[in-house]
Amino acid sequence: MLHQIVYRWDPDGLVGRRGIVPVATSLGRDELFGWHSRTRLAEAVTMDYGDPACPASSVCLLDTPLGVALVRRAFTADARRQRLNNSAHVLVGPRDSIAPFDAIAWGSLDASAPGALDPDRVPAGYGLRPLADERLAEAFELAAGGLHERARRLGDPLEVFTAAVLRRPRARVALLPASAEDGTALLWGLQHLLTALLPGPWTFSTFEIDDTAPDPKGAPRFVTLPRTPAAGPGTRVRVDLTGRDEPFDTHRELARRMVKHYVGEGWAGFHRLLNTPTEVHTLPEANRVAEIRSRLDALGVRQETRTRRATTGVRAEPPEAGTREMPRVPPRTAPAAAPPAAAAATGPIDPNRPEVRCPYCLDLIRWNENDLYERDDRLRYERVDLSTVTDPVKRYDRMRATFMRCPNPAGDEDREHYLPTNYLIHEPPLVIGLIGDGLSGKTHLLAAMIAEIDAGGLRPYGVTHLPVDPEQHLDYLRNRVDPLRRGTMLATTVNHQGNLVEFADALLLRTAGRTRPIAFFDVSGEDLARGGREMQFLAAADAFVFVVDPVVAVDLPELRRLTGDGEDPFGAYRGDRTFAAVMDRLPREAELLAQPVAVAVTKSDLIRFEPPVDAWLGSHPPRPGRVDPARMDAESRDVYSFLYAHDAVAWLSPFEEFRRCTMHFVSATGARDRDGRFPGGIRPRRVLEPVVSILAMCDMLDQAGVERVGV
Amino acid sequence: MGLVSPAAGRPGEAGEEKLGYTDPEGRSVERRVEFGPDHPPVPGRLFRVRDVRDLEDGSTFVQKRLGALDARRRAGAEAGLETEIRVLLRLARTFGPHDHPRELARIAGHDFDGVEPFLLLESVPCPPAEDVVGKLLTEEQDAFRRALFRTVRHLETAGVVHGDLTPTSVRWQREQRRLYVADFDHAALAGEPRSSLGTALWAAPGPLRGPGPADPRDDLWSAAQVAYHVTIGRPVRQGMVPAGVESQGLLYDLFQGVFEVDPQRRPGAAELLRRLAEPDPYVQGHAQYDPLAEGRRGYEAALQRKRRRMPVQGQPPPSGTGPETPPTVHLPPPGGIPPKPANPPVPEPRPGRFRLFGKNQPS
Repeated sequence: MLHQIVYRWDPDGLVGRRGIVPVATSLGRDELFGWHSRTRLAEAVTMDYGDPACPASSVCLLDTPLGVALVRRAFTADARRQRLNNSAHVLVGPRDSIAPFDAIAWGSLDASAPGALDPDRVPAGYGLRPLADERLAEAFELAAGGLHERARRLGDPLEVFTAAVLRRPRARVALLPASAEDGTALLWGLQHLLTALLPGPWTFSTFEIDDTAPDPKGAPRFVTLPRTPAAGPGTRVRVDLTGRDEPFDTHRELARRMVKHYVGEGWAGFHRLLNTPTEVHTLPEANRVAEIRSRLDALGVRQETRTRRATTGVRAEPPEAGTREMPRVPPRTAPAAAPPAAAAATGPIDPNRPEVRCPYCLDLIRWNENDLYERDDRLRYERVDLSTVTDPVKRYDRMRATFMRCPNPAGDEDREHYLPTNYLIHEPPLVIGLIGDGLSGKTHLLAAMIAEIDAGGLRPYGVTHLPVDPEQHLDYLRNRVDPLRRGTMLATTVNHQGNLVEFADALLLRTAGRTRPIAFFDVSGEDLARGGREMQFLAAADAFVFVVDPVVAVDLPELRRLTGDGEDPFGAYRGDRTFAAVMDRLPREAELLAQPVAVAVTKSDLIRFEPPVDAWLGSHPPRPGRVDPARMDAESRDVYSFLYAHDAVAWLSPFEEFRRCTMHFVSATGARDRDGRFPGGIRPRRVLEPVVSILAMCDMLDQAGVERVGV
Repeated sequence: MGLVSPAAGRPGEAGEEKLGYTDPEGRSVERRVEFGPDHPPVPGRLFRVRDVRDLEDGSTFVQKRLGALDARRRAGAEAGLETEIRVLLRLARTFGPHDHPRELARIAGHDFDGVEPFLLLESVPCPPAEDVVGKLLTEEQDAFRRALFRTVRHLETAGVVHGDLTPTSVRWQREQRRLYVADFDHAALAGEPRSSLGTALWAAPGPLRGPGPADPRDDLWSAAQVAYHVTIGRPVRQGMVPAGVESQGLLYDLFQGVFEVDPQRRPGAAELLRRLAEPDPYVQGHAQYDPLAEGRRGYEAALQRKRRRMPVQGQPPPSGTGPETPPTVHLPPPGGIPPKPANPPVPEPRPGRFRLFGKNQPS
């Protein structure tokens, strides 16, 4: 609880004197007299009254023998009535009851601060009520974001200031020249930067014109001066915030790097610097500076690589221009020699965005607003600058069709690749790979899945969808889904021929307030079996759909006529070669693989009258839109027993190797093709079951019991 | 002869065509056949039916196929046809080629992926029972009832719910006293969600109320309604006890409990047969070899293995070895109501429910 005193011009006041005197308070008479006469409070309130540089509002935190006092001074000059007025709202409390952070925040909010009074209108007397401590905490919540932003814009002065404090940690510092607003933001940034390094209380004033006044205690005190005072420096260290006469030394270097990190990485990044792996302020005081330095070193290596690649990649390569293909990117207009602080101050990489693993080069990247591209109709990527587009409606609209060039921090991928903005700015994507040998029906299954999702098949589960890359999605619908719907068989997926393996389609799924991209990879069985570096997306995949082709796996009379003549009759006993190739490739952290997996027995329409397929293929869930773990378990058991009974045990290896696995009978077309066409049209059956199961196992469905799926 | 449907494949010689289909064993068959004329359409049935004569061995079949239907009705008709093929194949597999009850329709082949999906049934010349409503002699009435409930018992044993037992789908041949049940397009496997509602007048209250699991005892309701209507000749009331059944002493005893609204409280078909003093074809149960049982055990074993090797959150506690649930203590409630017994009496397993092919039927 903090007591309040209001100072303003009054002919009488509570102390019986004319002038700028206490007129209202929540204190008792004796206490008020004590504060007014035995501390420097009155002086702090009236200080510099009438100075031409006097700001409309300034804040001062005082350490006095009676406790701590937070003074917010309001200065008004009424030119018409030729009157100057100075009033103040003072909060007083025991020592350490007001933290510098709270004081800066409360003072910076002026009249909008919680609990603020208008000192010129408060009724005089002893009728004020004390202010609850929570008001200061509220002020902190209100002001912190804005102050942080302002502090980040003051990179250069902050660097000089920080260096000076690092140099002489216990000194009293005078900052000049600085306005009261800048002073507030600088102190805020300083507190951020140095809390971990220099513990202990300190006081400040955002406006004074003389720094020779003695400070009562030894605590560091920071005052902001609008100009260099005429008198000598006294006991204070004067810091010229323009940095003109400040020395360049190790402190300045450390300050520069800290401030750069603070300005460039945003709050979360800075927080990480201080608090991971251990919190710096828990270390012995002597080690803290060295620890910060080593952490910055570690970060710097990564940062340097990133910037080097960004500059070499973006700036034209004139010496090699003839030998290489035309640079697809116009040269960056910004001069390369821009001051690092200014460049960093725009903060292109928002640390609040998730780190996303690029499915092409496997590097972890973050969305960078300064590295955006748009794709033209000839599929070339053109750089765009959206920093001038601030209107949220327009910005959203432009943004949804943009791409970011993957910076490939590891530098091991020569081919440029671009990722849609939507892929990077939401929760980390869910990458699903479809695994199965050639002709097993992956492509048809995926097209049927996308068709069902596109038709709203996930809505009963509370999941809505948007395309990640609208053009690519339309393209996929046009080239895959529509022909299939018309009853045309889709062509087999071509080998990638050394090209980058791209996801077939990606959707943004929204459920229960979350948005997560889901990307499907469909590559040819030939490529999967051969492996190679191109298949490295497998390592980034979060889930798999293993496609079992009953024509190959199961020996049934009605399937025998469909198998080709030249096929290896013993291949079925070994199972699908792509299954083994994929499972061998995945990193193993435990006995079993942890990725959620769905096994889909495709072309189930061919065996639709075979038990137990007949019980499943035409069945509908008793409660649409509800995940039923027991039902999924029953279906998995039936798939297992079906494959088991038909000597297709080798095809059950995904179930044995992955910890969470469900198995399903699906049919992408619902009918057998006749000479490359489906004469009766297609009737996809249960194609969403594997997707729903994977979503449930990835905790993407907001339903009870999803943790029991596939365990 | 001569009345060949123009939609039916490519004609070879005059009146002679090739018909390719899949037989119940899954083999592809192609036969030279000749088609008869379409049967007169039955109101409410979407299929076109005609006779087929196999020219190679002289056997005759009935072909049910989808006619020219608009897209909306076609979807429903296709589902019906698929259901019928599925259920008839299930019956064929359950009973095998030698023990197939003569009362149940028997599939001879199917082709569901073609331009015009169809189903081939073995031909049984039986007129619908509605032709003989109220005309049966007493002895014949008794034979009809026995045959009907024996058929229901067969269906129950096979785990199949017909779902649409009516005087149309139940056929009766007076000379041979032969009963024959056809039209399985509303059928379902017991425990599955019901596919569709059969004829409402004959349906049990459960199906009338709405979707739910198919229950063999709903067939019993319909069969009793049919038996009452056909033998007594009096009309029945939808979803209710037939009017006047209490005045029929014999039937009143026979139908004791059959018209309960709750299917669990109806007697089984075996009990009806006992009341009729008709031997139950499956007194000892109908033990079947389940080719999938071993795979199911393998699944459970593999799952237990995985749970042991890598426990994850959400997996059920291991059976037997895991932490036992503490026994619940029954304190006498303050109101003085006697506590319920800790172990409620387990209901007797109902006769005739066997695990056949497919899922465990939830009770």
